[in-house]
Amino acid sequence: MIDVKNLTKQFGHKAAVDDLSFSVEKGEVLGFLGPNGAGKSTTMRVITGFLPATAGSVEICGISVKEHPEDAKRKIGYLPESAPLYDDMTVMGFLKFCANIRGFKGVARTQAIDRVIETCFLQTVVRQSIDTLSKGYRHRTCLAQALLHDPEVLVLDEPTDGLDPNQKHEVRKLISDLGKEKTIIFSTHILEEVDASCTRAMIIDQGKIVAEGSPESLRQAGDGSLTALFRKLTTSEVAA
Amino acid sequence: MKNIWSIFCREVSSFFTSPLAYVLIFIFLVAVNALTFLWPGRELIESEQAALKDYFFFYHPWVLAFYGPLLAMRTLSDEHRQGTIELISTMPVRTIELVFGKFLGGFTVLFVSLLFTLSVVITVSILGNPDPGPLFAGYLGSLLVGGTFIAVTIAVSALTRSQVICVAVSIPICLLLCLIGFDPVQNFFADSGVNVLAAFGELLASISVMPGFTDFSKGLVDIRYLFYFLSVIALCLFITNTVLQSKRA
Repeated sequence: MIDVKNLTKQFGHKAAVDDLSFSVEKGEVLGFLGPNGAGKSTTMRVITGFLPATAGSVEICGISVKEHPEDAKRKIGYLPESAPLYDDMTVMGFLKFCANIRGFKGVARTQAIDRVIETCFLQTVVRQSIDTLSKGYRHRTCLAQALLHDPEVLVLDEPTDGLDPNQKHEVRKLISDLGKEKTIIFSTHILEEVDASCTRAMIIDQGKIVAEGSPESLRQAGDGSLTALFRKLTTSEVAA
Repeated sequence: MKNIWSIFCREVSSFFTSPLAYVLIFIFLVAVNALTFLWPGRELIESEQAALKDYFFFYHPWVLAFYGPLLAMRTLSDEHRQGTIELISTMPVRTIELVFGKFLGGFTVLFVSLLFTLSVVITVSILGNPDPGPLFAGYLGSLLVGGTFIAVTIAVSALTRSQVICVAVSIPICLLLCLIGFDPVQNFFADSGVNVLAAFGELLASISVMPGFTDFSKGLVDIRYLFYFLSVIALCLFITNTVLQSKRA
């Protein structure tokens, strides 16, 4: 479903992602772990077609992101880091705009919007202007646009960042539920989320995979603690 | 086509939901009317002429050199500043559709703004009998000049996330596109008596928006000038498209 082969992304001489290969199948939720600057967001941006790869390839459901970007993008729902939104629109206006871009019309559009409003608990803010939303609602509005077209693949960049504990719980539950039928990759540096939502996790550091496996196997490798493994394998920005 | 329409609609509605839009249109109308009716020695009413070429359209390129950039400054700068460029670029939209939709949005707002200046035409029509040919051609010229300035600003806005920098760069470019074809500047080169300078003057005139606009405001719709305006707009949008794509590389 997501097939990444020998992916390299360089900015100038610096490799943000260095020869990364992995694949995520349908029904899998891959947790993408790593310290700040490890290359998580860059990898996701290449997967979603926002950044072109320097080398290597990415395929979404067998479609090459480089060769057929529009077709690949139709398969993906993407929540970018920091959940960017058009501040001058209302939540409803924004979702309508996204639905139009995604090719929805008439009743199908209304149904798709109603569905994501319910899934992301946006009922109370539908008519509200986006610039007046709290961080939690902003995140959920952006998540809603990612779910509009019921995509086969979801790429979520720190989906729980800035949410309160209740909202975090809801989003994790949502990811687990959606993960049964979809292919999901989400990044986080909150290790407890791996246990809560992932079927598989990957730790990357300096653009390379340093550990991969089920949450249990990773915990065993870290002598019972994911945090211990994370600290052992990744470079601290402070130390660097 | 559908994507262009969606982006166009968002652009227009986003413009009219912002209070800044109404302030800009108001300032534009005040500027056009004040210049037309109050400029010392060129007051339209006292001229007792119904021809708008020297009293109304004469100022349009200069006002539009400020208005076009102010209108279009947010176009892509805002997308970069808010990070929404990442959102829209990961939807099934081609970059050129995004750029063209945004241009059409700005162009429509310009069209609406120019409609409001019809008050001047109505005034003149009550007092005299203006020739409709130059009137239509003059408005077409204003639209094309304004469209060119919007396209220039969009190209600049692709390069920066700051609206202030975008305006500070775009207005001088637009003013320069007027100035190099302005009669006094052209006369300076033509009267210099130096062949190289005269040739340079002609080169400048061919880049400027002024010769085309002057012809339009006289009622002469020259297909070559029409082609000039459309190709400058197309070039700017093409540059914008290239900048947006290469920025991510």
